[in-house]
Amino acid sequence: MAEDSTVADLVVRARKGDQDAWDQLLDRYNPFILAICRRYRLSREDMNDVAQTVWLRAVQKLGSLQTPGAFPGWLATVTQRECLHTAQAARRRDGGEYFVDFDRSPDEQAAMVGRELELAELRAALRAAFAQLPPRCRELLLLLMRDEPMAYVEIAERLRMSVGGIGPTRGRCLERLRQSPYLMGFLGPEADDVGSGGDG
Amino acid sequence: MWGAAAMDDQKPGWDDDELMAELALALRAPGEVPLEFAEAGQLAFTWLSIDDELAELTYDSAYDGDRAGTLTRDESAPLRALTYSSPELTFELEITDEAVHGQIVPCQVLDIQVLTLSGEELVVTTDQVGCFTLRPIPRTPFYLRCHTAVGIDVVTNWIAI
Repeated sequence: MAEDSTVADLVVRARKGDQDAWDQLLDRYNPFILAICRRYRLSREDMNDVAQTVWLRAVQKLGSLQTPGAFPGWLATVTQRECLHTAQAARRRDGGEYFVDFDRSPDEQAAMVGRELELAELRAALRAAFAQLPPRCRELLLLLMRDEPMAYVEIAERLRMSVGGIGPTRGRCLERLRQSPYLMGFLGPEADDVGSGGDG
Repeated sequence: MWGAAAMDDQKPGWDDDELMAELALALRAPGEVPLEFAEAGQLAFTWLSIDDELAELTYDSAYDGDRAGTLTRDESAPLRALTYSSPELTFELEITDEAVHGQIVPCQVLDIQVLTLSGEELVVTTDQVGCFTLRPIPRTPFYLRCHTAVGIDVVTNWIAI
């Protein structure tokens, strides 16, 4: 998958002290850590402790990873284990009343973590692909995605385009997004057939 | 759910509305992450110094055997013992309720930097037999770094107590 080589590249750069690569790893995986913390229903304070432990261990792990591409899997394992321990400690601390819906089997937990990791990777790829769109596309899509929908008339005025042009432009921008090399391997077969780049 | 679908071999294509919905979620995700997550990641990275010799955790009484485990919790008894070893230097640490008592081996007089995750930095000097004390115990994880007589910089892993 295209994303794997990117992760490996980021890990290799980060282990050489490249701050930008490390920042990208943080941006990419912090939402994942948050998602797992939420699954284990940790308090805000416990979440922060988990994130701290995971990143402390991650920076130490950088140098000893045999396969840089294995970083996400390693991170997922450490995150899940930290969350589980923290949730169990919270349950003991709070006298058993703390609700933890983790009477699931280890296999189910591992599957859940795998799905969340996949989702975090997918969303990171979407953000990277979006960042590469032309400014006008990004602007239009952002206006269309607002929580409180903006009227087409208003959007047209803001972007100095015709109301009738919004729909087709949206379609073209999304098509362009779909064809981004960042999304290779994430989207359906028709997207895989487009272009040849995959280095993200 | 898309997270599940993305793992299947039969990947569905997205229609425009689905793609917009996923994109909105993707763009919103970073804003939901507590600022502390990024800060913790940033501070952790300050440890990385590729030229230093790493002293790795080789013994932790909390996990390895009972060297300190049978001691009672009186004033001076160590509650936890940790060893960080590198080819050049070993740090032996004993953690009590109120201090970290350390010794470097081979013993020598030198300055040890204590760098905490909260950004504090202090220096302690070892005595003739290589002993030093950190009191109070740093509130956040920390690491030790020193420059040996033969000119090698040795750094421990992050130490979380």
